[in-house]
Amino acid sequence: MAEDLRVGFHRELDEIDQKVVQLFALVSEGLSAATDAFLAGDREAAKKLVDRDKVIDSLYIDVEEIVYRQLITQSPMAKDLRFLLSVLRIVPELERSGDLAEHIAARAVRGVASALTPRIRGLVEQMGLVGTEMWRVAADAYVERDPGAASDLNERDDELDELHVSLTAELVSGQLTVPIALEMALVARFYERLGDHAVNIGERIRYIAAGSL
Amino acid sequence: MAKRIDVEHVSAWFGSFKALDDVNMIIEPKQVTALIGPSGCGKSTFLRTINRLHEVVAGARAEGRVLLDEEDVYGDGVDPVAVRRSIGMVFQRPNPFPTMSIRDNVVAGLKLNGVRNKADLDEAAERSLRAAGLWDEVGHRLGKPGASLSGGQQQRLCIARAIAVQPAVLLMDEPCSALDPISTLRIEDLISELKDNYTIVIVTHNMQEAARVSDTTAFFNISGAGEPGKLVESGPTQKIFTKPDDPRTEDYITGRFG
Repeated sequence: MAEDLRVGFHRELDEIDQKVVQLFALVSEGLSAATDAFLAGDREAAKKLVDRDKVIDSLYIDVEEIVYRQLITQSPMAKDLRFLLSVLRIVPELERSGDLAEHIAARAVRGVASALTPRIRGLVEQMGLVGTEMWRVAADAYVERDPGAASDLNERDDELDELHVSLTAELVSGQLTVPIALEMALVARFYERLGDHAVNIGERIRYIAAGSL
Repeated sequence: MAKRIDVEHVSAWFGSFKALDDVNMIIEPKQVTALIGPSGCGKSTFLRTINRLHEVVAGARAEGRVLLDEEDVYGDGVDPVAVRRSIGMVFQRPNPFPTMSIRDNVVAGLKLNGVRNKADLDEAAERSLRAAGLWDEVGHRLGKPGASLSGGQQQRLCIARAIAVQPAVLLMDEPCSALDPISTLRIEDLISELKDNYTIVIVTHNMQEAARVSDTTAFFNISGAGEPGKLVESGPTQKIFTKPDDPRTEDYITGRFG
C-alpha cells in the first residue's frame, strides 16, 4: 500500500464522502417515507419530512463549500479530481431529489390520497417502490463506486417512465376532479423526475469509477 | 524543423549503477511531452540520453536507439556535437555566458559553427530573441551583459540561444523551477508557441506545470532504492491527469506515493 503524503487533504475527501453518503440516505429514506405519508394521508409524517429537507439543504451547502475549498487549495489530480468534480454534479441532484420527495409528502397534507381510485393508488404505490429501489441502487453504487449501476438505473428508469405514462392515462380518463387530477399529474411528474436524477447520478458514479462520461 | 523521436530500449548507467531501464516511447513532433516522476526516477537521465549529454559524465553510458526521424543518434560515426546542435537544451538555472553581451549570448552557437557574417548574426539574434519573446525588452540594449537581465529574462535568453542554431528538438530540464510565478507563466506561454516549430520535451517536478504545458505526459518511477528508473506510463496529458491506466501513476499524482 502506498504511503499517503496528503493526509489532511484525503481526510477532507473522506469527510465529503461521508456527507454525500448521508445525503443519499436522507433522500432514499425520505422518498420511501414520503410515498407512505402521501398514501396514508399522514400529515404528521409529512410535516417531519418537510423539516428534514432543511437538513438536506444545509448538508448540500456544506459539501459544496468543502469541495470548493479543496479545488482551490489542493490542485487535485486523477481520482481525487474526478471525485470532487463528480460530487459537485451529484449533490445538486440529491438536493433537488430531496425537494421532490418533500413535494410528494406535501400533498399528503392536502389530503389528495383519500380522493384517489384504487388503480391510481396502486400506480402511485408502484412508482414509489420503483423510485425508492432506484435510489437504493444509486446509493449503493456510490458507496461501492460501481460503474455498472448506470445501465441498471437506466433500465429501471424505463419502468418508472411506463408507470408515469399509465398514471397520466388514468388521470385524463376523467375519474378525478380537475384539482385532484392536477395535483396527481404533479405527483406523477415528481416520481418521474426522481428517477431521472438517479440516472444522472449513476452516470456521475461511472465517471468517478471508470473515468468515462 | 520539428522531428519525431523514436526511443527504443534505452537504458543508462552511471558506472555500474543502472539508472534507467529499457525505455521505449515515441515523442511526437510539434508537441510538448512532459516527463514527470519522483527524484531519482531517471527522467533527467532519460532527457540527457536523447541528445547524448548523459555520456559526458565520466563513467556514464547509455544503450539502445534514439531515432531522430529515422536517424539513430547513437549510430556508428554519428558526432555527438552534431546531435546536440539539432537537439538543443535548456537547463534548470538560467546559464547565460556571464561575460558576453545579450547579442553574443544568442549567437554564440552560430559563431561556434563558423557563421561570421555580421548581418547574418544580427538577423539570427533578432529572430531568436523575437521567438523567445524577449526582443521588445532587450532589442534596444543588445550590447549589455546577458547576466544583467532578470532570472526570467535570462531563461528566455537561454531559450533564444538554444533556438538560434535552429534545432529540431528542444529539451528542457525543469526550466521554470528557479523562476517566480510570472516568469514561469511567460516561459510556459513561450513553450506553447515554440511547439509549432519544435519537438519539445520538458522535465518538471511541478505536475500543474506538466498539465498546463504538455500534450503528452510520461511518468517515470523507481520501485526502490538502488533500482533503475522505468517508464511506467505515457499518454495524452488530460488522460494521465484524470484517469491514468497504471495505479502507480494514480498513486503518484494524487500524493499516495511509496
